[in-house]
Amino acid sequence: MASTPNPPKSILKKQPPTPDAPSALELTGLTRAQAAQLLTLSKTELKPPIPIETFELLSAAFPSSQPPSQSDISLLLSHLPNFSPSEYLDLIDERNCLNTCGYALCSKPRRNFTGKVKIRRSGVAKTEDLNKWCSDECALKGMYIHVQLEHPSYEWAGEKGEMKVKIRLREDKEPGVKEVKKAVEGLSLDGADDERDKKGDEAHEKKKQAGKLAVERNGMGVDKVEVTIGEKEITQPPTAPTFTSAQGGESDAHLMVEGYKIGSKGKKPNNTGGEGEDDDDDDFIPSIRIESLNYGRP
Amino acid sequence: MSDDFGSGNIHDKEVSRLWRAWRTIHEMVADRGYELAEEEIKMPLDEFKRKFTNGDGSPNRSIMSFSARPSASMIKKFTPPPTASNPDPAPECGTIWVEFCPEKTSIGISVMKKFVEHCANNSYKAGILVTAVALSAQARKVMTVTSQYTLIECFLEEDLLVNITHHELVPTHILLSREEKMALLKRYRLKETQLPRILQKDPIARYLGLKRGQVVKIVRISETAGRYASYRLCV
Ligand SMILES: [Zn+2]
Repeated sequence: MASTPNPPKSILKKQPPTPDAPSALELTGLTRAQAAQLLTLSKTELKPPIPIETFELLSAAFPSSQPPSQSDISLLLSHLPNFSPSEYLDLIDERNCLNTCGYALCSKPRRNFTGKVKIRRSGVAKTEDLNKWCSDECALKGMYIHVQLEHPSYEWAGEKGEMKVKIRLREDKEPGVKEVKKAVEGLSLDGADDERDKKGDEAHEKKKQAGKLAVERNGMGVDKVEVTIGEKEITQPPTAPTFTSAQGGESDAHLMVEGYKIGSKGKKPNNTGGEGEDDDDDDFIPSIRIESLNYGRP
Repeated sequence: MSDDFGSGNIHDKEVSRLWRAWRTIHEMVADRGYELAEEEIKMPLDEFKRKFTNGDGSPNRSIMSFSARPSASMIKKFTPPPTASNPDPAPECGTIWVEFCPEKTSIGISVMKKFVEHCANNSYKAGILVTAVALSAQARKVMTVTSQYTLIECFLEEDLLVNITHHELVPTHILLSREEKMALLKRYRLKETQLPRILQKDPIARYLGLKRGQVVKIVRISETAGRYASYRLCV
């Protein structure tokens, strides 16, 4: 360093020369990567808390009309991207405190079920959760926003180059998960039907390529092997197999497995002289043993 | 403390719970050094019922609020020592306002703001809101933001059913004045961070309304040492 005339001698390894003046980065004690991370975080995650006034604005007597006016919708959409998921839940809470539906674009009073749980068509639900909304429709719409805040997709917003969470409102008659699933199951992918659209064409193309791949794997496009299946003619009733003398005869019958003799010619059954064999009787592993034996095929 | 289950009124249980909370909050305010009449603190259940219930026996929380002025000794304790620049310092305590919130479902920003405004308009130095249900997260935020001007505290009725300081295992906690704290640090040659600590959210700290930096003296009865004092800094 040029600024200090006699720097104390370091016992550490030689450091690469440092620039004369410490940059702002070094002063904050952050590495470049950390700083970059912080920068992206500041654009996305680290948002200042939502002021209480905003909560009041979006909870008390909001929206001003039912159905909500266009200005109310755009007001909500301008505020929502700044909300963290938990702050959004707070907003629902705050609206519930005023006895209105948790969905920010609904001015109806919330439900007022009693008891701990309620049996609904979809199963058992806590009344506490049900009472946050005026209807199931609003619950869907409200949580639709929550999901988008929890798993944000960012878009570049405007002149300042800030990243903004993209929020979409749920349409009135939008299909739910179940309907979408059903629709997907109904789709046919075999490409056989004539009114094939673009998607069908794609599937067809994929199938063709898969076929090519299979040929390539099986070996250079070999022609198919002709296989003819014929019937075996039976002239006499079946008899139990007998051993020929080459296979050892009757005396070795107990050593035979399905017509083959274990440990025939040149190999002693106890395997002491097997060349290159490392298995001894202690670690007898059947599969290895069988593999290493001569099956005595004729 | 007898819960009259036999009398058949559905509000009896609630009223008796409320009466216990009332009693604890009065004891608490008195323990902090405010002036309260003995008969107000030790109001019997019958009288409480007569005073604070409607015709049908349901409690009327909105008329249960009260205020209390600090006693002479409390003012003395909370007055900072005079300095050259400020020869006649004002005490850091004032009248306290206690309110029972009639809201029974949920408490949001609006309720909290109204309470804070009421305290500010009547220039109360401290305010305690006793609620039957928990505050919403944002209402809690309103409470902490405004607490710089008026000290706002919230207690659940549920938490006031018994006075925890009356339990035999809870030692006596005594708040030290600023001078006493300086004397303590000087005597033991300590920095204040070297003292043991007590959290501000500790039930006893909440009971006494401790602020960050204040020191409590904790007096325990010891079988071998008779009385044994220790000190804790509120953080
Ligand atoms: Zn609704």
